[in-house]
Amino acid sequence: MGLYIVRRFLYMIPTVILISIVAFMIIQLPPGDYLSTLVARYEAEGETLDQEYVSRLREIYGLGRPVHVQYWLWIRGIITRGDFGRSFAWGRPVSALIWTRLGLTFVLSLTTTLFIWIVALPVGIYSAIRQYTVGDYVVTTLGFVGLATPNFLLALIFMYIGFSVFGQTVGGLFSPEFVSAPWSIPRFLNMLSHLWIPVVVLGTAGTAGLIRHTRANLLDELRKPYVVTARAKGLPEWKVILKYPVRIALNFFVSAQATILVTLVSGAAIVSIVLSLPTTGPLLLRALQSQDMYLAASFILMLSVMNVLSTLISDIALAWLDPRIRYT
Amino acid sequence: MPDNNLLTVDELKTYFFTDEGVVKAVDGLTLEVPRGRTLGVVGESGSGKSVGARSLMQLVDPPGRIVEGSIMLNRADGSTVDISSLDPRGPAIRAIRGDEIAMIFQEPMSSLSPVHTVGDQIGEMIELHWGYTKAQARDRVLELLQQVEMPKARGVIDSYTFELSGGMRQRAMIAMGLACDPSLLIADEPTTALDVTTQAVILDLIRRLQESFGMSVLFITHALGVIAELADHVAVMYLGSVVEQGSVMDVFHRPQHPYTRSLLRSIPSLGLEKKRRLEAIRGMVPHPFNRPGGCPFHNRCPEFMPGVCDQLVPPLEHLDAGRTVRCLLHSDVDEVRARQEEQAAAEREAAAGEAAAQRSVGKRGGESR
Ligand SMILES: Nc1ncnc2c1ncn2[C@@H]1O[C@H](COP(=O)(O)OP(=O)(O)O)[C@@H](O)[C@H]1O
Ligand code: SF4
Ligand SMILES: [Mg+2]
Repeated sequence: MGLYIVRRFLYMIPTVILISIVAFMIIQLPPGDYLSTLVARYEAEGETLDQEYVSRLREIYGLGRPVHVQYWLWIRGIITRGDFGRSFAWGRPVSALIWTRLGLTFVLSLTTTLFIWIVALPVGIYSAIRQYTVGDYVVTTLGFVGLATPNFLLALIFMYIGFSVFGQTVGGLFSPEFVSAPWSIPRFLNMLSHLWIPVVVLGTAGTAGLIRHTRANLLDELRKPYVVTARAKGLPEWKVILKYPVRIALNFFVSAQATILVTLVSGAAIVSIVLSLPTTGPLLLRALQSQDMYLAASFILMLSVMNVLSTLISDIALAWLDPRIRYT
Repeated sequence: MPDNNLLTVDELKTYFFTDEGVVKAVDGLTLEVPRGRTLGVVGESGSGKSVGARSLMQLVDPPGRIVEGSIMLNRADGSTVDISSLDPRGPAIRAIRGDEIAMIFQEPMSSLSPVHTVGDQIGEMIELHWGYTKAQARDRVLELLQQVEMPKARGVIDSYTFELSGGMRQRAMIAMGLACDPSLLIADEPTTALDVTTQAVILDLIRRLQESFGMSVLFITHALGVIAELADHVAVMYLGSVVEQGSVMDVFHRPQHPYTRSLLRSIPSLGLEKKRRLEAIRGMVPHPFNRPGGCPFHNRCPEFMPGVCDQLVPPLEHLDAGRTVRCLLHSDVDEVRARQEEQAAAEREAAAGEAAAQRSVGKRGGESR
C-alpha cells in the first residue's frame, strides 16, 4: 500500500509539469497579447497609445521573448519564490489575487462534495434495496428533475427563496457588513449561512447523478451470489446488505469521485457569476478575455493541480477499499 | 418417536411469480435426508435442484416463494421445526442458517466476497452463532482451514479470494460450510466449476470430512457417477419433483422409474469421466412454463402409456426397502384415476361455490350502494 501511494505520487509529477506547459501554451494561443488587446481597446475608444510606450511595456513584461523562455521564467519564479508573475490588468502580483479565491473555490467544492455524498449515498442505497416501491419512484423522479434543471435556473430559484424566506442579501458569500471585514468567527459563520445556496445549486445535478449511479451499481451487486452466501451464514439482513453489496458498490462510488471535482469547478464558474461569488470562476473568465496571461495561466495551473490531487486522493481511497487494486 | 431422518421434506412447492407467468421450479419435492449420511440429488440442469436446496434454508429470492409443503428439521434433542413455516427474514431461520444447516455453492469465486479476507468471511459466522471473540474465531478458522487441507493455511487466512486457485477457493467455501459444525451440509454442485483433477480431490475431501464430522450431507449434482462415488442414498429429480429415491446400490441396480433407467443407460460406465452424461435421453427438458400435464416425463418416456400417463399425475408410491417412486407403472391406475377424478370434481365444486359466493357478495355490494 505504501509503495502504491509513493508510485502514484511520482506519476503525478510529470502530469503536473505537462499541465503547466499546456496551461501556458493555451494562454498564448489567441492572436496577440495583453498589450495588443489594450491598444485595441484604446483605439476602439478613439484614443491612441504612444508606440514608444507600448514597446517599452512589452520589454518590461518580457512579452517579446520566445514562448519557452517566458514559460521558463514563469515556472522558475513559482518554484523558487512562489512568484506567479504579475497581473497586467490589476497591476498586482498574481499571488496576491489568487489565494483567497482558490481557497474559497476549494471550500465551496469540498462542501459541495460532502453534501453530495451525504445525500446521495443513503438515498441511493435506499432506492436500490427498495427497488420499485413508491419511495424508489419518488427518488428516481426527483433525480431526473434534478439532473435536468440547469444550474443557473436553480441559482435564481434559491436566490429568490433565500431573499424572500430568509431575508438574506442576494448573491455573494457575505452580508455587506462582513464583505471587507478581516476573518473572524462571526465572518466565518456568516459565510456558512450564505454557502448553502451555491452548495445546493452546485450539488443538485451531482447528487442526482450519484444517486442513479449508486442505485444501478448496488442493484447489480445485490444480485451477485456472494449476497446469498452472506444470507446463508445467518447474518441479519441489514448486515448482509451493508457489509457485502454496499461495501463493494462503494468502490464504484469512490471511483466516481475522481471526476466530481472537475465537474464542480467548471460548473461553479457559471453559478459563481450568477451568484456573484468571489471564487476563481469570474476572475478567470475576465483574465482570459483580457489576455491577462500570468493570472489566467496561474489559475488554470492551480485548479489543475487541485484536480490532480483529488484524483490522487480518490485513487488512494480506492486502493484502500479494494484489495484487487492494492495488490497489483 | 426418535426419527432417524434429520430432514423430512414433504410435497414442497416453490414457485416463481414472474411477469410472464408462474414458474413451478419445485413442484412436489419429497425427500428424506438420513442422519449422518450422504443423500445425493441428481437431475438435469433446470430440474429445480438449486431452488429446492435454497428452499430448505428459506433462501429463495423474490419473486420466488414456498407455496406449499413442509420441511421438518428433527434436531438431536428431539425438538422439531417446520422450516417452510418460518419467516424468511426472521430470527428463527437465521439461527438455523450457517449453524444447523450450511451450504456450499457452485461458484466459489462469485460466491465469496472479493474484498474481504478468507478469515473474515469464515470467522464472522463463528462470532455470530457461537459468540466467539475475533481472536477465538480466528483460531477456529485456522483449525478449519487445516481440516480442509488448505495449503499454507496460515497465509490463506489473511488472503483474498483472487489470490487463491479454484481448488483453494472451494476449500475455503467448504471450511465456511463446516464452521459451526452444522448437522446438515448442502453442497450444490460444488465441483462443477473446477477442473477434472481438482474435482476428484475435492470430492474425496468432502467424503472424508463427512465421515469425520458425522454430519448429513445433501450433495447435488447432475452427474450420476459422482453419486456412486460418495452418496449412501439418492434422489432422482425431474422437473421439480423427485421421481425416485432409495439407497444408491438399490437404485443403481434395480432402477424402477423409466427416467432413472434412461439416465443409467446414458452413462457408459460409472466413474468420474462423465462427459457424456445425460444428453442421451430422447427429447428436451420442457421449460417449467409448459410442464406437461399428467406425468411430467410422459413426452420423453419410452414406456409412455397413452390415455394414462398424459392424464394422471403419478402419486408417490412406497416400495420395499424404503424406496419411493413416482410412476404409474407402479400404481394401481384405476384407483389413482378414481381418486384424481373425485378430487377434480371436488375442486370444481369448490370453485363454483366460491364464484357463487363472490356473485352474491357483488350483488349485496351493489344493493348497499
Ligand atoms: N429467480 C428466478 N426466476 C424465475 N425462474 C427461476 C428463478 N430461479 C430459477 N428459476 C427456474 O427454476 C427452474 C429450476 O432452476 P434450478 O433450481 O436452478 O435448476 P438446477 O439447479 O436443477 O439446474 C429453472 O427452470 C429456472 O428457470
Ligand atoms: S408415469 Fe408413465 S410416462 Fe411417467 S414415467 Fe411412468 S410410464 Fe413413463
Ligand atoms: Mg443448479
